[in-house]
Amino acid sequence: MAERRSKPKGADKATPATPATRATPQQPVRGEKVGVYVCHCGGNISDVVDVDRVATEASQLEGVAVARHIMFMCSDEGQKAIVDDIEALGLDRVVVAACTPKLHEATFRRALQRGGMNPYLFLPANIREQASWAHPHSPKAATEKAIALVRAAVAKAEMLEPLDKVRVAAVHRSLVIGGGVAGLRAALDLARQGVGVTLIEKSPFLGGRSVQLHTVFPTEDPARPLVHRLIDEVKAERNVSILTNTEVVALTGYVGDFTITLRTTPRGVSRDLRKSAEAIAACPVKVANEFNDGIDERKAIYQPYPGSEPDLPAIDWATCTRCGDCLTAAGAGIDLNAEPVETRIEAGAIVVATGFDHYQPRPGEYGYAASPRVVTLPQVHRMLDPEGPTGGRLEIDGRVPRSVAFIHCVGSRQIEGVDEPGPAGKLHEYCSRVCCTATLQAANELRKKYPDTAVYDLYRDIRTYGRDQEPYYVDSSKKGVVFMRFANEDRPKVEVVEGANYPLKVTVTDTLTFGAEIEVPVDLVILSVGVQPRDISEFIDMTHAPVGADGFLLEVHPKLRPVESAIPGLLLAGTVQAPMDITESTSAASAAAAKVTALLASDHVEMEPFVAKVDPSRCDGCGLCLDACHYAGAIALQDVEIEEGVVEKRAYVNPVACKGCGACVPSCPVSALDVASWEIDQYKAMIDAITAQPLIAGAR
Amino acid sequence: MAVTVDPTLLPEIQRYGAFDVAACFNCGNCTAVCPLTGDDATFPRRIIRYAQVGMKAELLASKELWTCYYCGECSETCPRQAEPGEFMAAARRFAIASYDRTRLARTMYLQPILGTAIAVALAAVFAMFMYAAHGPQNGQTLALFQFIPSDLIHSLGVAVMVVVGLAGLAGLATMTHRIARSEGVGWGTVLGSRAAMKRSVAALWMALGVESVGQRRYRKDCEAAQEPVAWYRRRWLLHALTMWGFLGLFAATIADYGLELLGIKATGTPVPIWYPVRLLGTVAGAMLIFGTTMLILNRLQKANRSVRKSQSADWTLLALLWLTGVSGFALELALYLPEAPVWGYWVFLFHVAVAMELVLLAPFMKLAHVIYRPVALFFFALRPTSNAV
Repeated sequence: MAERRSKPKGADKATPATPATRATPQQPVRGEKVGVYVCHCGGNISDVVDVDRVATEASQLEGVAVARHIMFMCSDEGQKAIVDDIEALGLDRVVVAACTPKLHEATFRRALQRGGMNPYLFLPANIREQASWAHPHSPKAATEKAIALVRAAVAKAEMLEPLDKVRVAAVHRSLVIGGGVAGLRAALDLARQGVGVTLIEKSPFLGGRSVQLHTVFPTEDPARPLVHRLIDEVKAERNVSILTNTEVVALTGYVGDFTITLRTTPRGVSRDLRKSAEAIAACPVKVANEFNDGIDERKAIYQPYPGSEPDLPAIDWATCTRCGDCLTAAGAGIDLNAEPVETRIEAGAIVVATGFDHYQPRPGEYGYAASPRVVTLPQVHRMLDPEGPTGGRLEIDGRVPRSVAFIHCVGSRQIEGVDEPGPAGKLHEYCSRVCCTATLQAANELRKKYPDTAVYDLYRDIRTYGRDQEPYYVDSSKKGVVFMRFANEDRPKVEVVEGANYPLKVTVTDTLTFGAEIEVPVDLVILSVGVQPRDISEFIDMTHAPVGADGFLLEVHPKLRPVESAIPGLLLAGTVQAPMDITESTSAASAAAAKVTALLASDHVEMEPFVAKVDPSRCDGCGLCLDACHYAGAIALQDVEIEEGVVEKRAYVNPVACKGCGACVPSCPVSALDVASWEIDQYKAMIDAITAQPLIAGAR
Repeated sequence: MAVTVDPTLLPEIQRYGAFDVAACFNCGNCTAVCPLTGDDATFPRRIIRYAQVGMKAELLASKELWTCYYCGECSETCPRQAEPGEFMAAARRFAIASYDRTRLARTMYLQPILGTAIAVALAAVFAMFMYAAHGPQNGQTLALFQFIPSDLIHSLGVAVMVVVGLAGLAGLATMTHRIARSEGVGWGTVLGSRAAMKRSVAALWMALGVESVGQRRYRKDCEAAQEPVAWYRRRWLLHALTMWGFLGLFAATIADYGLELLGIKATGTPVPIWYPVRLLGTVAGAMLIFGTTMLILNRLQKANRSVRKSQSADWTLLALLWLTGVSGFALELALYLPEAPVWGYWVFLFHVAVAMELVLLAPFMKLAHVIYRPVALFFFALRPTSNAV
C-alpha cells in the first residue's frame, strides 16, 4: 500500500541559500573584467560579419578586459581561451558572441566552471541567427548589428549575479499512472533500475486497451498473453505496489518531492469469492460491456475475460443497485458496503501513462447508429477474438457478411468545414497513425477467414509506416482487397437500402478510378475510428501539464526531450502524448522510466535558478503577485520581521515551484519582483547599450 | 452515373492470364513508362482499375485495350510485379471472348485441352469431308483438283467465309457499339457532314493504313521501348512479316480464284514464278514462314519480355499460321517437281484443311485482333484521349 514518510513538507526542503531567494540581497558586484569572444563559426558568421571589427569595438567598451575572435568558440581551443583568460586576467564576466544559446550555452557555462567562475556569469550574444544568417546580403549592417548585440550583452553581463542551481531533496520512489501496456512497461523498468514504483490503474483491471485486441501487428502474437507476460513480470518485482480502482485526487509538491493523494474505490469482491460465476449470473443489472466496445452486455458485477488481472470480478458501483443477489448466490467474498480509501504517497517523479480513447462516431456519421450494420474497428476486433463474445465469428444477424467495406480516417485528420467538431468543439486534425495497419490486418484476416467475403478498403491516404507493416498492404492487395480512394472533401456516403439484396450501399467517388462514382453494396461497414485524447482534465488542472492543440499532453521538445513534460518530474509514456502503437508506447515508457531513474539517481534534483525573486525592501505585501502566479505554491505571503518587533507580510518565492515565467513581475505595483538573470534593470542596460550609437540604416 | 462494383470481374479476367494484377496499387509507374500513354496519363492503369473495381462495361468499351502492343516495359517497371503488360493481353483475350456470342472463344481460351482438341478435330473434319469426295491421284502431274474437286473447296471456302463473316461481324458490331456509345460517337459524328466524313476517312486511313498495315506506333514507339535485339528478330518486323504474309496469301488465293472466275487461268495450273499471283503467293508465303518461325523461336526461347508467358492461344495461332505457310510451300514445291509425288496430294489436303480452319476460327481466337484492333484504332484516330468515366 501507499508508503508514508515522516519528513516534514514545505518550502524548507528547498536548499535555502539560493541567491534568488536571499532575504536581504547583497549589493550586486558589477563586472569590471569582461571577456568577449567572437566566434567565426567557420565562416557561418565571419563570411558576413566582420568579426575582427566586432572584437575591436568590444575591446573599446568600458569594463571589457579582453576581446578576441576565434574560428570555433565551441572547440577545445575556444573553450581553452576562456579558461586561460580567467586565470591570466582574472575575468569576472564572459560574453560569447556566437550561435543561439540553445546550442552551446551549457558548453560555455561549463568552461566558466572549469576556470573557477560561477557558470551563471556567462552571457551569450547570438550573432549568427540574429546577424549573419538573418542578413547575409548586408554585411555592413550585419556587422553593426552584431556590435550592438555585443554591446548589449556586455552591458547586461556586467550586471549578472552569481547564481546557484536550485537543489531539491529527491524521494527515491515514483508514481506510474495507468496500468496499460505503457504504464506496465515503465513500472517494470523503474523497478529493475532500483526505483520504487506505485502503479495505479483507474479501472478494476490491468492491461488497458491492449488486452482488447486478440493479435498484435506486426508480429501477429496473441495480445493478451503478451500483456499478461508483462503484468506477471511487474508483479514479480518486490519494489512495485499495484493499486487498481485507484485515481489521483490531489497532487502537490514538485520534482523530487511530489505528494499525491490517491483514492481507491473498493473492488467489492475479495479472494474469498469462490462462486464468481454464480454471483455474476445472479446480478440483475445489464449494461453495455465497455470491454467489448458495447457489442454485448455485462452485469454490474463483472470480469472482462477469464484470467484477467486481477483474476477476480469487480463491482461497477455506478450501476450496482446493491440488491445483494450476488452475495446471496455466492455466499461469501462480496462486500457491498466498503467505502473508498484515500492514501497519501510521495514520489520524486510521476510517469503519466493514462492512455487514449477510441473516437466515437457521431450518430449518422457514415451511417453509424443509423444501422446496426455500421460498426467500428474496435468492435470488429472483439468479434474476431476467438475468446470474445462471438467466439471469433464475424456474423451479422447470424450470417457471415458477403461483402464488407472499411472506411479509414474516421475521426482522424478532420477538416474544418467538412467534418463536424466533437463535443469539445475540437476537430481531430491529427493522424491517428495506428488505424491503417490495424485496418489492413483486419481486412487480411477477413479475407483469410472468409474467402467468399468481398472486402473493400476506402481510404483517403494509407500508410503502414512501421517496420514489418508494409507486408500487410502487399498482402491485402494480393488477397484481393479492393482499394478505393476518396478525396479529403468528398467522403463516401453510407445509405441503408430497404429491401435490397445488400442492406447497405456505400457510394464513393473513387480517385483511383479517375473520379468514377462507384456504388459498393455491402452487408457491413467497418469504421476505422481514430485515437483521441482521454479526458484527464482534473489531472491537468492539478499539475498544469501543458496540453497540445490536439488535446494530448505536450512534450518539452519533440526531438530533444520527447518524453518530458514541461513540468519537471512529470514524464509522458504512451498514448497520453500522441497516437502510438504498442511498440511506440513501450519505447516511450522505457524512455520515461530511464528519465526518472536519471532524475532520481542522486539524493537531489537540480534545477535552473532562473526563478522569480523578491526585493523585501520594496515589497509591501499587497499579494497581487499571488493572483498573477499560475503555479501552485510558487509565491506565498510570509511573516517577515522587518524591524525589531515589527512583523509584516512579504511575498516569498518558492524557487522549486516557480517556473520563472515572469507573470508576477508586471503585476507588482512597486517593482519588487524580478526573475533572476532576466531582470528589468539588466534589460534597461541592454536597451541603453543598443541605442547608445545609431545603427546605420541601409548600410551594405 | 454511378457504377456498381463487381468483385467477380477480376478473378474472371485472371482466368485468361494476369494472375498477379491484384497486386497493383495504382502507383502509375506503368503509365509513366508506357510509350503509348496519352496526355491524360491514364493508360494503362485505367484499364487495370476497371478490372479491379469490376467495371466490365467500361472495360469492354475501351479502345485503349487495343492500342497496346505489349512491349512489356510496364511489367518491367512495375514495383509490385503486377505484370500490367500481361494483364492487358489477358484483358484482350477476355474482350475477344466477351464480344463473341457463341462462347466458342471462351472455351478456346479457358479450356486449352478442349480447345486444341476442337482445333484438331475441326481440321480432321474438314480433311475427311473433302477426302470423302476425292478422285484419283494422277501420278504424272499433280492434278490437285482431280483429287479434291475445286468446286467443293470453293463452296466450302465460301461457306466458311460466310460463317466467319457472320461471327466476325457480330463481334465487330458488339465492340463497335460499345466503344461508340462510350465515346459518344454516332453515325452523325462519322458521316454527318463533309467535315465529318473527311475526318472519318482520315481516321480510317490512320487505323488501316498507317497503323494496321504500316504498324507505325508498333514500329516506332513500342520498338524503342524494347530490349535491343538483332534487326531480323525485332517484334514489329516479325509481326509485320507474318501479317503481310498472311494478307498476301489471302490476296493471292482470292486473286487466283478471281482469275478462274474471269476465265483467265484455271486454279492449280502451273505458271512460271514471275506470274504475278504466284509471285505474290511465294513472297507472302516466305514472309509468313519466316515471321511465324521466328515468333515461335522467340516464344520457345522466351527471347524478350513480351513472350515470357505464353498461353495455349498463342501457340494455337502460331501453329496454324506456320502449318498453313509451310504446307503451302511444300505444295508449291510438289507442283513444280518434274514428277508428281504422292505426298503432294496429302499435303494439299492438309493445307486446305488447315487454312480453312485458320479462317473459320479467326473470330474465336487470338487472330480476332485483326478485326478488333483496326476498329479500336479508328476510334483512337478520331479521338486519342481517353473516354472519361
